[in-house]
Amino acid sequence: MRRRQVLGAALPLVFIRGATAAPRSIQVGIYTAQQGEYVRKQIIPKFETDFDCKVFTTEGVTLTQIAALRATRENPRYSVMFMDDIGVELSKREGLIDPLPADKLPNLPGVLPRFMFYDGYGAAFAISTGGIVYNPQVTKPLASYAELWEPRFKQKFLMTTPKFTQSLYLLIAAASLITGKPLKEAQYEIDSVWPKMAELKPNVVSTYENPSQVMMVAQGQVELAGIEYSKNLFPYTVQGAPLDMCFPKEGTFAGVNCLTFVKGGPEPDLAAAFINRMLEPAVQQGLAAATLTSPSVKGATFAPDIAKYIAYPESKMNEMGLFTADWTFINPKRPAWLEKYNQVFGS
Amino acid sequence: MNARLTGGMAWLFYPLTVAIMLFVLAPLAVIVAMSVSANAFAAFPPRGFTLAWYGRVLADPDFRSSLSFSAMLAAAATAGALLFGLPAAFALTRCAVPGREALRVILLSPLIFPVLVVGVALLRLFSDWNSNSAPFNLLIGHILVTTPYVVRTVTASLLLADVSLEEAARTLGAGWWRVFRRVTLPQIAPGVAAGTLFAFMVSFDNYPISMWLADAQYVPMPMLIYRQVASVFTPAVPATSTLMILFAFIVVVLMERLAGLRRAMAM
Amino acid sequence: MTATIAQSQVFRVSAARWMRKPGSAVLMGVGLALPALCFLAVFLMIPAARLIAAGFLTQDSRGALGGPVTLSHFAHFFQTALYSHVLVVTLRISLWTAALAAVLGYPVAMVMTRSHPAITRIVTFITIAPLIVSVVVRSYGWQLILGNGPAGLLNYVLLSAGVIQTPLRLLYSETAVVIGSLHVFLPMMVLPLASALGRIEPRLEEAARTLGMPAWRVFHRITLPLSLPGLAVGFTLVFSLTAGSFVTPAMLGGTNAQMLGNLIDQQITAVYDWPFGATIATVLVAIVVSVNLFSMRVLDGKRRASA
Repeated sequence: MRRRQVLGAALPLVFIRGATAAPRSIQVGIYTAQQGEYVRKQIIPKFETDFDCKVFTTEGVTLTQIAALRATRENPRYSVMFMDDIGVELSKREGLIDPLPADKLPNLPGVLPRFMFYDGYGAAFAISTGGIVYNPQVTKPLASYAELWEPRFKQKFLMTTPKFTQSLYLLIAAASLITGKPLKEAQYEIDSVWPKMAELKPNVVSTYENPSQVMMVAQGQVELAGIEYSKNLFPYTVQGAPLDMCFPKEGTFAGVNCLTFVKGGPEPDLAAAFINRMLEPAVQQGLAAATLTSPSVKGATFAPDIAKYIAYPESKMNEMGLFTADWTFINPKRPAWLEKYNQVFGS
Repeated sequence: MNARLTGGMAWLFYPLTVAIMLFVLAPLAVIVAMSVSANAFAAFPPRGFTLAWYGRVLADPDFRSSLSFSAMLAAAATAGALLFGLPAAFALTRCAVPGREALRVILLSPLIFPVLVVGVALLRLFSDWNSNSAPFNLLIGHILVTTPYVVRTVTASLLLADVSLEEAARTLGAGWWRVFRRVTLPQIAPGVAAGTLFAFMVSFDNYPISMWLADAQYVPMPMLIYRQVASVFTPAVPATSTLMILFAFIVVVLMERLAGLRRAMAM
Repeated sequence: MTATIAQSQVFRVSAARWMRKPGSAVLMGVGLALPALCFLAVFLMIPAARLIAAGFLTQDSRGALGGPVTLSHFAHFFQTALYSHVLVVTLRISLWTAALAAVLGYPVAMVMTRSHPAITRIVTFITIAPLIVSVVVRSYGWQLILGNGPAGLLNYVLLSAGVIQTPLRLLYSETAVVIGSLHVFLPMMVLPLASALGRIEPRLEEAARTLGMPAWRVFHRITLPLSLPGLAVGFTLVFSLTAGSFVTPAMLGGTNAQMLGNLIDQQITAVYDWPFGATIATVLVAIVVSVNLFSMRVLDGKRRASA
């Protein structure tokens, strides 16, 4: 009897707890892993105290976040959503987000122009670089993406799942190889890339979704993995794992994490304040140093041992050939390309 | 009580069972081994030995709140499953309801539907209704996926229970509640216990539904684990899983004490 | 003949005799089932109907569903070799997993129901405990065990023992997915089976033994047929759950063992093509429902035949 009473008393607490939360609160969709943790543990608590509110976060990758936005379109739950630049294009087209309220964002002008997207619908707050993961104790860094196709990597390449944006980068790289054009132009030629991708098949041992699978490179089960983001890899490197990332000469892909303003989301003023906070120079500096990603604002500086991991300042980005794709062109073709990916690499 | 396994059967089945138990334990053993590794990353074979990761996990407030939330959710979902499932099982087996086959298919359909899709469909539904309370949404989703397990096990028990005993009790003048409590329930207790255990475990480990319906405040365990695995994969993750195994042990032992689960199997 | 007394009794006796008035039995039945039915109608039936309907609609660039009604998605599914292949792979893996679960489930269930209580307790715990461990973590464990090359645990053991000369290629294959799925869903076979085995009248087996039947014959002729309801439940459950899974195939099968669940996951998360995702989901549901209906027919047929 007593057991049931205890349970009966405890259950309502779960539901009541929601009701006694602070009066002002917003829900924000953030990224996973170290970046997510830094946002939750370092950036948000200060924001909550400064504005006397609660910020609730759900962690996810761009596509899951957008799916959530789509499903809650009629009654938006989120106020701010972090997503990749590819997602900004998609969300804008489907009417899920509004332009960033520039008048409420005094920090917005500090963002580098190359990191403002789609007429002010998205502003980058962290940029990773995309390349190939390898074990420096075993393999030499790749000088060109063409080396991926070499027979010495037979069944040694772990490819990112076609569900993720990075898979598209591989297609662009392949297009650049067969057309000889730079990435910026090659991206329009992806339709002709499939015979080349079929040639890659013997080298691909499988696809992976979970960034922790890069440990297979460290443990020697595969030699290469990718295309992966630096923010998922360098945390392992600084902790001493035998892993590094190489950026072949064709170019370095930019994994751009953006801030967006959800259409019809609750507490728009608080949402704008949060976006503004994310773009504050001090916050940008701290986030970049902690997660080894590039900030999007001007004027940040880093200690040499961290700077080597980060594509910053702009001059270094240009040197590395930092490249963001034309998602307006690519997004509509995605379903067809996903099917081709499955057809080529399925058995 | 069933006859004990003897002779040729015993010689065949006991070694087979041992082999199968090893098969079941193999990945769990690997996970436990990884959890005590002194490495910064979860790797196999483990290097060094330390229990520090367990300390870290147990001290983590996220872990504790997630664990208690998952446990409460699972308990509530199980209660709901019993509430809906027990009467439904009775309707299926004791009453001449027309279209019994169709009824059974409907009651068991959540098992058939891809759970991933159920999750998204529910998210859409709750959004249309403007139902923003994650605990409520999760509860509904979890009751949905756990009720069929209760229906299934209780139905099986009811089918094998001795109806003539119930009949005899009724002839002797007992009311239907008395008959249920004193004659039927003890016979189906194993089925109910098995269904309860199933429902609790399934709810606790459910990822596809929780993935869509959870929000920032309420994070069931599977979400927490997935988040950690997608993050830097330290031995804290295997440590969390090992703690889950311990938790399972406690739950099973509790169920046994409370509802005689052993009786369900050994008869 | 006498084996199915209990079951046939229910259907012939209960309807007439449970309640004095047959009419009230129906009423009571409907009343008892109503809460569950309403719950399911609202939270599963309607969303499911919407989903299946989506397979016949068109999606515009904003992501909204509407007319015209079309069969193009289904046509696309069945006319593209890729999807038929994935369909076949899904069926194959699910059938193998269910069949192996049945073969492995019997010894465990027999031991569970006919042993010393202490043994029963241990076996029950070991069988059930994995249910609570995240499937992601379990699959990771299997990745390490089945790893290709000498670093994989299984390969390491077999190579050291001299059983094989070259490492086995197990990971990223259908076999690995079957092993992983078997591991995840074995409890779903063992428990219904044990429940059925545990309720078999021991005197039946004793009588057969006394009459001189060898033990394996008793198992074959008496125990097995009597446990058929449990086997049917377990088989269809394991089949259904395996067919709809996506985590295990993704982690252990990779590109070589894609299943329908993976395709649905891709459509919903990566592409958000609801109509096509719904099409694939409908095909999956159709398969699973057929298997379930088939097994129920077989079960009822056996029951009626032996009545």
